[in-house]
Parts: sequence; C-alpha cells; structure tokens
Amino acid sequence: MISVEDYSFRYNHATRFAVQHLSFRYDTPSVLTIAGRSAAGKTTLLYEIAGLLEKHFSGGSYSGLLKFTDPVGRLDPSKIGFVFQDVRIQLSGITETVEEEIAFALEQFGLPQQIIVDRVEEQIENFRLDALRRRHPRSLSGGETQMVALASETAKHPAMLILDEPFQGLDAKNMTVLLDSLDSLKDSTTIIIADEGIDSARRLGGRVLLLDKGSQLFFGTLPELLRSGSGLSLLDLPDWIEAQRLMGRPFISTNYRESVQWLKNPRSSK
Amino acid sequence: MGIILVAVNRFFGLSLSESIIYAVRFVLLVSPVIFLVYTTPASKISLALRRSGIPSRLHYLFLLSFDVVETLRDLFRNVYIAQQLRGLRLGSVFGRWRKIAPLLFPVMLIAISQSLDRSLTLEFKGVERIGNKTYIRTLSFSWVDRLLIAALLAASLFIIFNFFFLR
Repeated sequence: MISVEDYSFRYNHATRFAVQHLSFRYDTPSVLTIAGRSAAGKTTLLYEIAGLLEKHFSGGSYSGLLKFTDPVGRLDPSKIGFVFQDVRIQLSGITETVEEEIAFALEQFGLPQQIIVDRVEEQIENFRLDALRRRHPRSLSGGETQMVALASETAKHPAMLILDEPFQGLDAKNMTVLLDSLDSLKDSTTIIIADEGIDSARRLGGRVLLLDKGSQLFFGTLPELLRSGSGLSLLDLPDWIEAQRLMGRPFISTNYRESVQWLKNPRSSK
Repeated sequence: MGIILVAVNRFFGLSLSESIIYAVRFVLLVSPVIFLVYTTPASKISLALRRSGIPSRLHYLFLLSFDVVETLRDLFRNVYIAQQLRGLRLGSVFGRWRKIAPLLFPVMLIAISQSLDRSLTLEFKGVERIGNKTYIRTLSFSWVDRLLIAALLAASLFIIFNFFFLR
C-alpha cells in the first residue's frame, strides 16, 4: 500500500510548492494515473515515489508523510522501472542494437545469461520490436525510442513501474501495444503513470489522482471523476467524452460504442 | 599536420625542425585513437575493455564519450537551425566568433541538463551497482591476439630500454 498524508514539497530556491497537501492511499499492485496539465506537479510526485527527490534534490523542503507498506524498495533500482519524459536520455548511449539496449540493465544487475536472453525475446515480442531488433538505438524515431525505453525497463520485471507521460510521440498502433503490455502487467506490478489525458485510466482502470498547480483536485476511479465533473476541463479528453461533458450528460460513459449511440440520439436515454 | 606545424611554430616560437618533430609526435599519438574509433564498433571496444579487466564504470565512461560527441553535434545542429529561424546569421569566418554565443549557451545548458537527467536514468539501469555483472556477449582472445599483444609489449619495452639505457 502507498499512503500519502498531507504531503508537500518545494524545490530549493523555488517560490511555490511543486506539490502541496496531497492525501491519498491505494493498494498495490494496482494502477495509479496521475493526471493534470503541465506544471501540475506530476513529475515531482513520481520522483518522490521513486525516492529521487530525497537523493538528488536534497535542498528542497518537505512536510507530511509518504509511506510504503509493501516490499517495494525505494531507491532499489532493480525493483523500480522508471521511464522518463525525455526518452532520448533513457538510452544507455553505448549499445549498438535494440537487443543490446534491452539487455543492458539486466547485464548491470548481474542476471544469468539465459534469463537475459529470454527476457530480451519476451520484450521484443510484447512490444512488437522484431523489425527493430538489429537497428542502432540512435537511428530510431521518437516513438520507436519510447517503445525501446519501455521494453528495457519492463525487462527488469520491476515490482513498480513508473512512467512519465509514456504516450508522448506514440502513434495509435504503438499506444495500443503499450496499453496491452501494461494491461498484462497490472495484476503483478504497481503501475504509476503521469498523463495529461485519461487513456491509461480508461484502459487499465485503477485510481486517478488529478492535480492542478501542485494541489489535489480529485482522487478516485475514472467513473467517479467523470461523475463528479471536477477539473475535467484540465484534461485532454477524447472528443466523444468531451462531447458528453459539454452536452451535460449526467453519467458520462467511458464506453465508446455506448457513447456514440447516446451522442446520435441524446434524448433516447440517459 | 600542416596546421599543427604552423601553430607550434608561431605560438611557441620553436624552430622549424623542432616544430616538425612536435607535429609528427602529435599526429602519431592521436592517429591510432582516431583509427581505432573509425574502424572498430563501440561494442567491440567495450568487449575488449571488459575482457582486459577495466572497471565497468570506467569503460562505460570511455564509451559514453563517443556518444556525447554525437549528441552534442546533433544538439548543436538543432539549436543552429532554431536560431537561424529566429534570424541569426553567422556571417564571415572572422565575424563568427562573436555571434556564436546564442548557439553555445543553449547547447551548454541543454547538455548540462541532459547529463543530470541521464545520471538519474542510469541509476535505474544499475550502472552504479557494485557486484557481479553478466554480459550476453563476451570476447575471447585467440592465439593471434595473444601473439600480437606480446609483440607490442616487447616492442614497447625495447623502445623504452633503448631510450633510457642505451643513449
């Protein structure tokens, strides 16, 4: 379980708190989507959960509590997979093929050779990277690099997978592949995703934490968020959800077919 | 080599013969490294360094230096294009140095920021981890390699011995 009680953090020399008065708790393994616009405090909260603030931003000031009551070890890189927003810096920089890039972290953690080979194959299959396996990581496009970065972190089989805006630069096909992979992991892995939209919450379920300028606007499930209507204007919603919201539907549906039916004839049913 | 010769001759005030010796020395020292980098893939150099027992952190830093050069080149090109679109014109060769600041500062700031971020990502890849590491590709030395290494060592010892003791 991750439990956060009235937690605030301000970076060194910053005039305002990056996140303030956050309070929520949720059971692990499960999916948590941290939603909100730019500068909402999403990345700061991810850094705190991964233990990076304590280690690398020591001049900042804290208040409140953030507790882990499960075996996920903070600061243990073998147990945490972290895909940063800028995926270009996620690559090791010294490998010459995608296969080697996926194997890189596993080699550093000293896993047996056969396990490394098996996991590389597993990730290549999961993320449909077969056509790229011999390509140089530097020659990949932004979306391809994103997929390789995700594959190399999930290859570690982490207890907690933290993804900072993982859908940036992905086309619809790769987005589906990524969501499929996350869907297969969610029962065994705690997945925490920072996202400007609700795609991950819609597909993977779990809880949504909505932030605005560092403050918590909402914590709960996606249907609850849509019902409450609080802060929805801050999110990148799919057009068919946005249309339901603007037309004042009391219970906004996250089911595409049902939503389209309703939009065709809003008076037929609620 | 010509540029080095002129530079040594002009800036250090050495005679022509001394300048030639220093220029040849410089080229002889630098050319093997350039030759190695251009003819051998980084992964092969990595395997050889690892096989020679170089600590993993050192060999990672050595290989990363090649990547940094390419990253900086790409970054410089992107910043140059962006500044050109904002109206920057570098002009003639002699006027360039004063106008290069709008290129250098963004490149340096982005490079520093990226290097800090990369240090975070490497933490999750276990680069700093102390302990056994396994590698899916390894390098084994054949008898030809061993013979060549022995010959190079013998030649080096011979040159050192001649230089210090037989003058």
